[in-house]
Amino acid sequence: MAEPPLLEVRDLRVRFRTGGRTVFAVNGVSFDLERGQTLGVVGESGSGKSAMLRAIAGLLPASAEMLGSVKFAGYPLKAEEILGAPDASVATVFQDPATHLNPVQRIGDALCETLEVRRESTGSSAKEEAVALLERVELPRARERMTSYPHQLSGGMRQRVMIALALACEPVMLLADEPTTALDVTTQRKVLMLLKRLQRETGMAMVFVSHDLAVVGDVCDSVAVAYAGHIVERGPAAELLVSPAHPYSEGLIRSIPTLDPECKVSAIGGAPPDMRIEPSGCPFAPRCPRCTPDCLDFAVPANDETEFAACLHPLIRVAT
Amino acid sequence: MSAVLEARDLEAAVVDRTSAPRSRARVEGIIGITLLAAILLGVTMVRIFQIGDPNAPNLGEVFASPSLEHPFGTDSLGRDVFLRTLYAGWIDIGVSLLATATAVVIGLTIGVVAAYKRGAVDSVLMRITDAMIAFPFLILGFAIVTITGPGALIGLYFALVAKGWPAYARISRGETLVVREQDYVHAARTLGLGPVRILVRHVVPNVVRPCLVFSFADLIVNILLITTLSYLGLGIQPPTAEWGAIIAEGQTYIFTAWWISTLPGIFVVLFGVSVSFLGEALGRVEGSWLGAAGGRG
Repeated sequence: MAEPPLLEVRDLRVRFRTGGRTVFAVNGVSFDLERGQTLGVVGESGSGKSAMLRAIAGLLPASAEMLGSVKFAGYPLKAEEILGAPDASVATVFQDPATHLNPVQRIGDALCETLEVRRESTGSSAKEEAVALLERVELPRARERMTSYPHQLSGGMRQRVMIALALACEPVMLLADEPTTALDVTTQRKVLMLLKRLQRETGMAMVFVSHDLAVVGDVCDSVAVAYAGHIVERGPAAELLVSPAHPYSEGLIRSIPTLDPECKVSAIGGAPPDMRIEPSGCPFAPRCPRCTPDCLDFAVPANDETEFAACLHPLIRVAT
Repeated sequence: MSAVLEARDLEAAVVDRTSAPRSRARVEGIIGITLLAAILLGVTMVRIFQIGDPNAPNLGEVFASPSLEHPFGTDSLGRDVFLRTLYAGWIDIGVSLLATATAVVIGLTIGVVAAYKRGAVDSVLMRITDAMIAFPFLILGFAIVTITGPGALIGLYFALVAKGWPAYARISRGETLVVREQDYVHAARTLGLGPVRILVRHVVPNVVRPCLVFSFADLIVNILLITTLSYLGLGIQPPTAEWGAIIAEGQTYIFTAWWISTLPGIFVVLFGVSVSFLGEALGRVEGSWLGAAGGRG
């Protein structure tokens, strides 16, 4: 029997109940992630990509309802257990490093605490390991920074600290929720390079959620395009970003501005569907230039293949 | 060259703007610490080395006005008012300090647990807290002092703790409700930290600051409450020196011997001012444990 995939998500559904209304954030998502692979999840705001990641990480608020199964290394685990177990080694890097670090805890103390819990290393050995981790994430003057508070660091430095904290867990899988969104472009590039290098060194798998197609194309092996709580297309990054099959992916790629003055940026007409209405039919149908009447009855399947486009009228993929 | 100068000017301007409130905090802090240290030093020295007898009457020297020998004058029994004020400080400050500290610990624990657990635990703990807040302090004080017997310091202490903790429970509950939903608490969970560690290491340090700032004010209020109970004859019994008792005794002679009430009163005010200055200054120093910039965002 083949080894089970590292992460196996089947028909994941997330709903938020707020003030008597239900928001359908994730509506049936399936995917596998192999060891050492990077999956990029792209989509616009409200496409459910962050809710997806938070569901896997077990960080949904109490008002959320989660259905479907998430298996880690073949074990059916409730998300809480994945993160609670010291040896399960999933770590998370978040979008906003400013709010995800305890404001009254020194950087060094935070690292030592995590090392103590996850690796049972204490005292001066933990301190040395913490300095080593900070050096590994290329934080300048790592030893001096051990006694800094988060508010004394810049955004990029804080994100490096968060990555160091994640590394302290020796993760087999890293969940990254828009880790570069809050950073300026040059810092973004450096943090991406860092993540790529660390992934090469440790062989960890990564789920990388972003709305930035360029970033995803840079970092990921495989890309999943999220729309209205579905994965509408998945494929290898190099192919999908050049020649998308789903009309939504195509619209998304065409809306990237370039420096070429001849190139016109085109926005996708219309707006994403109201997530408070239970979805039926293809969610992209109202905005889709290739829509036909049968699209309105087409239910997006929770497809777990590594290459598919959930569309009745896909664009023909050009071989690259 | 001019660019260098400009840059330096700009830097100076920036430093100037940030240093204005900080230097005021520093002045307040220095005044507060100096006054407080002087008062505490006097109070503890007199007590530890048993300098003089605060209760020994000296009928040859009744109602002596303030002089070098008797800085605060003497009272109707010829006792040195300054000496009595210092001895009284030991009791007043000591009981107030202990009671405030105990109240912070109890209130903080109850508030944090209530807010972190939510649900039934929260409801029960907060209803108890509400009941305690609704209870009039004097009646509570009467009840407790009656049980322990008048004059027992332990009764005063319990009365102050019983009165003090609900405020801290309320403050820390509110703060915990905010802090428990902060991203860094979620992040701590994803790093695999247990609930007790998250509470103690991540929630409490972010909640304790407003409690401590409030406790500086509470320290002074508690001294006034000790004074009140003693004035009503429930607290410290004569002839033991106590600030409230000294001032109450002096009231009778306010027109003939103004110093008996007035000077100890000023002493109490100075103590209160020094504590409050210190609290203010600590709250404003950037990067300090109580400081504003160490907080959220």
